Amino acid sequence: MRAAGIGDYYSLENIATPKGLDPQVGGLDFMPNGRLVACFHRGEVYTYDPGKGEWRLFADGLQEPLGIVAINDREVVVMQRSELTRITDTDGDGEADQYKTVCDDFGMTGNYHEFAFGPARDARGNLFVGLNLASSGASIRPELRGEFRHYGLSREGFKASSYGRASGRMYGATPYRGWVLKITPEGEMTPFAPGFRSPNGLGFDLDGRLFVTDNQGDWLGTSKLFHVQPGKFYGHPASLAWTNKWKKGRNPLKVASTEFDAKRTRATVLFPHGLMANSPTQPIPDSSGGKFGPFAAQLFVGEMNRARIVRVMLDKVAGEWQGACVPFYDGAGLGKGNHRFVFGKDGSLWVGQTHLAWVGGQGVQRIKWNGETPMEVESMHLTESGFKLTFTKPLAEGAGHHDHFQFTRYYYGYRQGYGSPQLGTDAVQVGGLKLLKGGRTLMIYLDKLTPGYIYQLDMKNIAATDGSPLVNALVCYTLNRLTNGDDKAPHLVEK
Amino acid sequence: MGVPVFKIRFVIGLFVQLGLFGLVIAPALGQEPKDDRVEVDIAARAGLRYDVVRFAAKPGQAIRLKLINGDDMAHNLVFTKPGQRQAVATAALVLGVDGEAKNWVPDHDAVLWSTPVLPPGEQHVLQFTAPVEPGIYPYVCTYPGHGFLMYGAMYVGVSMPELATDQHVPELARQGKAAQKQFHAWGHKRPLMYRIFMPDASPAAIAVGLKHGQNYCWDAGQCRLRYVWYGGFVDPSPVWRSNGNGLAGVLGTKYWESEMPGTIRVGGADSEPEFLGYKKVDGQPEFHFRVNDTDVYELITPLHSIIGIQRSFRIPNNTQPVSLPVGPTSRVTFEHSAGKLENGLLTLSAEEARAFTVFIGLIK
Repeated sequence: MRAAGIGDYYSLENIATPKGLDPQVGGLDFMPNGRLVACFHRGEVYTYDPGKGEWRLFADGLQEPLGIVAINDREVVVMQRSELTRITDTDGDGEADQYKTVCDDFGMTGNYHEFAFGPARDARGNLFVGLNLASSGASIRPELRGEFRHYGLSREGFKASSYGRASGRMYGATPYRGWVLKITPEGEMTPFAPGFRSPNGLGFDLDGRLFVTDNQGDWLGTSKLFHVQPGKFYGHPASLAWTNKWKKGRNPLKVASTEFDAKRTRATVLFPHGLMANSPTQPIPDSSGGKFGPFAAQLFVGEMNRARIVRVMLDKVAGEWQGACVPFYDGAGLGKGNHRFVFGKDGSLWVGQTHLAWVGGQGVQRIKWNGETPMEVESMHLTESGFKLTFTKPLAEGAGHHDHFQFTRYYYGYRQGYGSPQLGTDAVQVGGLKLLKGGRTLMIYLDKLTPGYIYQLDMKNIAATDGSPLVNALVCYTLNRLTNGDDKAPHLVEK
Repeated sequence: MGVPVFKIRFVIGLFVQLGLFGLVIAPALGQEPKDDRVEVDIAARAGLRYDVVRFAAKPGQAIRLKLINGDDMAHNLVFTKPGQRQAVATAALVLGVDGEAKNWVPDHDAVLWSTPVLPPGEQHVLQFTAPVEPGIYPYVCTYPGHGFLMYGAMYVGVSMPELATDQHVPELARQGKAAQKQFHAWGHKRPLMYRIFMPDASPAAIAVGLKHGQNYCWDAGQCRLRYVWYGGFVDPSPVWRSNGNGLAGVLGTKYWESEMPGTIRVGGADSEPEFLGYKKVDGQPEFHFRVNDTDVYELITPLHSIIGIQRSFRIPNNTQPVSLPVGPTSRVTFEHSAGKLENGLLTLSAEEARAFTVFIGLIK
């Protein structure tokens, strides 16, 4: 069986960027007129005519813009470090002249790690942004914006060389760091949900659900994708200082993690560190309606640390979303630092890359499907006794052996420490397989299903009836709850 | 682009230093020259400076000097007798209406040779013979206001000190930090603005480089002007080359800094200012903010004949008295179109405050 590669099914084009530009991409979108619009590391916004291959400067002077939404052919909304800004070309000369502050109702300490992500726009035009926590890799600056409040340190304390011992690994010292905010088109801001560490990726799926990624580190054993709903808490406690219920001065670093575990909402999908993704970015639904291959409406998620885009297969179980992740695009010319995405009208996926001095890349690439269906896992659903796996094409004869489907389960600890090793690792025996009529769907029966584990599936020697081999053979399913709703997983917490 | 236009043929005894980069070009020694002539190109650059701030010649040596105006405003170049640079530049200031016709070259005994005033993009060749008398002969732009910053020196039969200690070149050249690198696809342009981490400002600072090498830092976190400088713009690389853990460097010399906290005050009550953005006017931002429910606009533009800025405020339909902290005014030229200045606070009536201007100039 020959090695399969995603490059057999998709073609990749490198888009030349203007000479002299630092082409680290902070955001990508399309204007209704078909021009791509992109914001870059040094504060520029360019538009691009895909037909002519021409870039044109639209705006400049922005502060580390990390997200852009095109409102119309003359207007974009950009999230920069300091604010959400509506940028308009009022005189129609192709270059913006008006920069209106939509929202700057949040604090800044000047700490480098206080990146600001988004916006993601819902169907009503509300804009959602994510605010990073500060990093103990640096202190706060002498002048701040917004109220100072920290649970362990005074402003004077932040001047001491030992500040990092009391600040927390990632910390918040001004309002709404570690939050997702909701901002109406008129600029009214509502704090939406706390608990984030580095939410570098906000996106709505085609059904209007908000998904946000967060990055492995303190309180995150591995990187995560969350289905975000108002008022819920997503696990990193530094942001709780800005909730009404939090007692002023109470130090989350000294609170038992069991208390936070009881409050938190678990990730919809976990990305095993080192295996699936180390630094996930924007989630984007496949809105191509089939023009980009057999994954219509599924979510793709970028990954910074390797030449990869991940695909997510959601599964509604007992009323809540959980699901699986699988590599989608690996290598085959793709760069690292896959940061921002947008689908073109023709169903091609545009990719913008960045690094910001971490592992990553730079530039713009465009991925097109060549019309041949790759052999892939199309969906994965939990059943009472295992998983239902549907492939994009019928399975070839002989694929139904147990040893073609190896399951391992493990979990990542929920704790103050940085990341977590895989814990509780255990092989899970496949008790039986049953190929359903049509040959595309396989029922897999497992010996035991326990909430709170990742079920990692490694497939070997799988091919379709047309002889094409399975392209991506690694799938990781986040089993938060069983079909009966049981989600008890006390083992997750390091007390 | 971005590299000073510079070309020179070496002759014995000729020794040129580029002030911008501290680059030293030493001539080959021990040979008799065939063509014993100094050829030097000097370009005028944004920020009121020549790119070559000194060169050497032997007494009586032939000189061919090409002045290239690479700036966006008019400049000339005038040689004076030793020690007479400031006297000649000051004499040019009083030429008044006669200035244009005289190319801003005063009738002064100390003037030796001069070029015409060159519009942007023009060039002119000046040929003369170096004085027989050894000495340090200054050259200076006598266009009004420029001479205090824009000068250099010809060393005739006198050895040069280290650049960093040379009192005959401008301070910026001694510091070697006037150079603006290229960071964008468009090369160099002014006006230019960056929202970037700046020293002595909040994390929501804005740096603006205006024409004529004039720059300021305006703080969107506090809705006020923080400081003003001339020279290059900023070095953003400490912020941009990493994940942001740095401050942009000010390229040039600060000559005014707001030492008073607080922004413009409208009416009696204290009120947190609310930043609302800006509109570009000829590429320059006109800031919009709200104080005490009142919309305030501030546009900062460069002055032309001296190093300085004009702050133009608009408070449409204002009905309340206004006060503007203007900070220290004793070390700069400070003027205001309306209101009363007392202890660093400019107070204006409701009507005066609807539109008023404040000037801050370098030269006292």
